[in-house]
Amino acid sequence: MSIIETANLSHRYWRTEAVRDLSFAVPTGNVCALLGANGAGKTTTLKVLMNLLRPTSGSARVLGVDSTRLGDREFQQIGYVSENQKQPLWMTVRQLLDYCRPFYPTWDSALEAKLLAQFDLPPDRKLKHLSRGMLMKAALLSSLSYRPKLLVLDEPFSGLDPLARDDLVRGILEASELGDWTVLVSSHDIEEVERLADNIAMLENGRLRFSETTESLLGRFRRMEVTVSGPVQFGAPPAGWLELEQKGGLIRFIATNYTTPATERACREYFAEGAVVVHPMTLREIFVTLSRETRTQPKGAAA
Amino acid sequence: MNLTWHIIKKDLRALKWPLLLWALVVATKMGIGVVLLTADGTEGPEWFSRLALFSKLLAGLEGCVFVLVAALINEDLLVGTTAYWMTRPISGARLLRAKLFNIGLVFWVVPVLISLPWWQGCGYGLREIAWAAVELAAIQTIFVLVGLLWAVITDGYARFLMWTLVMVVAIPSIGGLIGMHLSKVNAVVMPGVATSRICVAIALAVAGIAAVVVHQFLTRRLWRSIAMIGTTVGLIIMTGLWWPRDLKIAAKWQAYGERQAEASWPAATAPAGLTFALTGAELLRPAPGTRAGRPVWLRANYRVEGLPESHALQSFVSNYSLRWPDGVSEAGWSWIKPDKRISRLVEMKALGQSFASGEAAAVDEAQASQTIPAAAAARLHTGPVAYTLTVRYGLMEVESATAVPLQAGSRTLNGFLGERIAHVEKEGDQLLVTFVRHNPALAFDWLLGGQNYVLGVGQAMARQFSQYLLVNKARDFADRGTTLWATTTRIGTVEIAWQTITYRASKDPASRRPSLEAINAVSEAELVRVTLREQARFAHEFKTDALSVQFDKP
Repeated sequence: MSIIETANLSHRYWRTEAVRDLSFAVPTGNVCALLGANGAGKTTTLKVLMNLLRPTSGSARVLGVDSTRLGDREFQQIGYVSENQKQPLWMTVRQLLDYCRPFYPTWDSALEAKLLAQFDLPPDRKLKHLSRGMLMKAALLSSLSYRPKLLVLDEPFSGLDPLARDDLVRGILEASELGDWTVLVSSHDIEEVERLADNIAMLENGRLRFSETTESLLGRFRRMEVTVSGPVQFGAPPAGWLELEQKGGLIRFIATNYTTPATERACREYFAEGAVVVHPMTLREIFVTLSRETRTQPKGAAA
Repeated sequence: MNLTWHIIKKDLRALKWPLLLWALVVATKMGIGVVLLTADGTEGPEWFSRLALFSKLLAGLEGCVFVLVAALINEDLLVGTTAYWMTRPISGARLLRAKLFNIGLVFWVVPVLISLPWWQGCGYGLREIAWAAVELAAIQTIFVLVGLLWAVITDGYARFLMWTLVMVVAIPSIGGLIGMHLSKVNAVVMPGVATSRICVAIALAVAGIAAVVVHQFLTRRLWRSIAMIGTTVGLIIMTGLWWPRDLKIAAKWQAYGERQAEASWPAATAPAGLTFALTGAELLRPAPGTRAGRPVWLRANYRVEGLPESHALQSFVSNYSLRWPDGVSEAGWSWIKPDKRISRLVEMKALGQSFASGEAAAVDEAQASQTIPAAAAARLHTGPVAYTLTVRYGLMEVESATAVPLQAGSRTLNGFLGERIAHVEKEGDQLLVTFVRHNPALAFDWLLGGQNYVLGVGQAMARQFSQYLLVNKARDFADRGTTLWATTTRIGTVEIAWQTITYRASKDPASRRPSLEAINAVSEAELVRVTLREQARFAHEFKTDALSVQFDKP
């Protein structure tokens, strides 16, 4: 069952179409990452899901409710943390928690105390005197303490130092293990996402490039190295081979649909002879490869 | 309600310092009123004027309500996608309730509570306090509504202030353009229609603002809200240009005022022996250079005979109507210029003379003046007109004359009318007495045609008043005094008047060097307070089917 579903979702800012025909689903209980370069449409998508923006066309359902009709009952089960959100900076951390608490029937004071200690937040310090990392942790704390069914994070790691990122990631991971929580996180901080996500959805120019499990994504991308003895005349490479290049006797390319027997067979057919070495790829490398490919394609071809 | 109250408390905590500062401004203004009422009178007119100006500045600062409303709304922005409340279980309706409650509490209840001791100290009763509170709330509402409108469609102070600036420029510009257009097409707009246009435009503006505020809280659809504002502005412009009907609003105001007057002056019959007669009327020639079409003064003369020897008439709220045979009519307020009889009786009482001497005739001659539209004035030439003048009277008995010590005294409070001798000083052949007086002065009275206390406040006016004279009985001389300087200010619906009167005690002409005799005369004289008390209260209707009018009186 999906906690978030979108169908042909589009949002337009005047003449700019920020999100186009987006259809994807986030299964309940998963940590799903929304990846994409700057301007890919991640934040717009999340804002539409949170009813901060209205879809220009198409629809989105969150917790089974149309996103434009999200009300008190739904928001009692949703936690939303965004780098752009304006917090009430005049409040202390404790005042923020005291203010939020009555709105949530499921508020867990024990969890609040635990997270407060874990995040090492000074309860009597005003939010305006907190560092950026601490402010994000305070926002996360106020959004986790009621055990939301859905946690939506929009660029939560942006501008944070490594230690703060690690604290935040650990907080999210621990929180997601506390119950059947679903997390949707948008970010271009790939390392953190790789640690978190069960599913990855990638947006390009407002469109969905793919949406699949992290395991499957990491499994199908491989950096291939083929050592050949003489020059090779390249023909059209098989579908799914990217960045094919030769330096001396070493040919490199990236296989985007790697399976051991099929890819090796394709190598033998293409290069006739040569030693093939297969390297696994990190999520960052995959992201960079796909982004680079998009940039070299004519607009609209990425779809 | 608990969660709404939770938001209310949050907002109050967030804005506690600006709100306290604002409350302090309101309280300081009242404090200046107390200083003006209790000062020892030696400070002089400049000091009074400076403090009065300061109180006006503070009253202007109360306009900061406008910015405070924006601060209250900006606590939970309604524009943009970054306000944290938008993704919390806080509905727009709940937020609106909380904000409205705070606006009511902070901008209506708190100022009234702060003003309450001031009003009570100035002798206001429940009725006066209620009207003063309504007036205060009405003035605050103007600022609140305008502040609310811009606050709900802007995402911060910068844009809020920019739109305020746009409004400050746009409203007079639109008004001017409408005026220019009307004069260009030579449109003749009857006063009743013009009043109706203004009232309908104000009603549209209030309704439009309310709709935009509610819409923005409930839906946060900014462009639709802006379209609603545009529609409202369009409707207001169309109303200003083309609204055709006279809703008789001025007449309804007038009728309301008259009902209030009638409530305080029930149609009781005049005391036996009094006879009333209209003796004619004069249409005054407009002053040179007066623009054509300006209202014209019509003065009606009347006399009342058969007054008891120690009694005189004091007129209060008066109104008139003119009716032509073809059904056209005109109505409004009248201002009564009283006869000198009351002054003469007061002088006689101060000097201890007997009223039976017959020096004061038992006749009261007075004039009722009213402004009538130029068109009505022109109609007076065409034929007979029926005229009705209703005057509400107090039959005042000159009751007592008491010597007053020549020193500053404590305040005497007569209902809501306060009076105090603040300072007494002999200067050569003159006695300078500074009086501090206060009375209610509601803007509503002004809106209702300039009649004081029309809304019923004045109808309950104390049934006695006093006049002060310097009396030298040895020389059989009483002086009502000449005002050396007088200045007034209005603080929290209370009008405070400072007046220094210079009295003489002999008939010596004023010269550079006062004569020894004149100086001695002042030393021999005493300041006497003559008190007049109301013995009866009644209304009389002067009526004629054909008013005799003399035209072109200078």
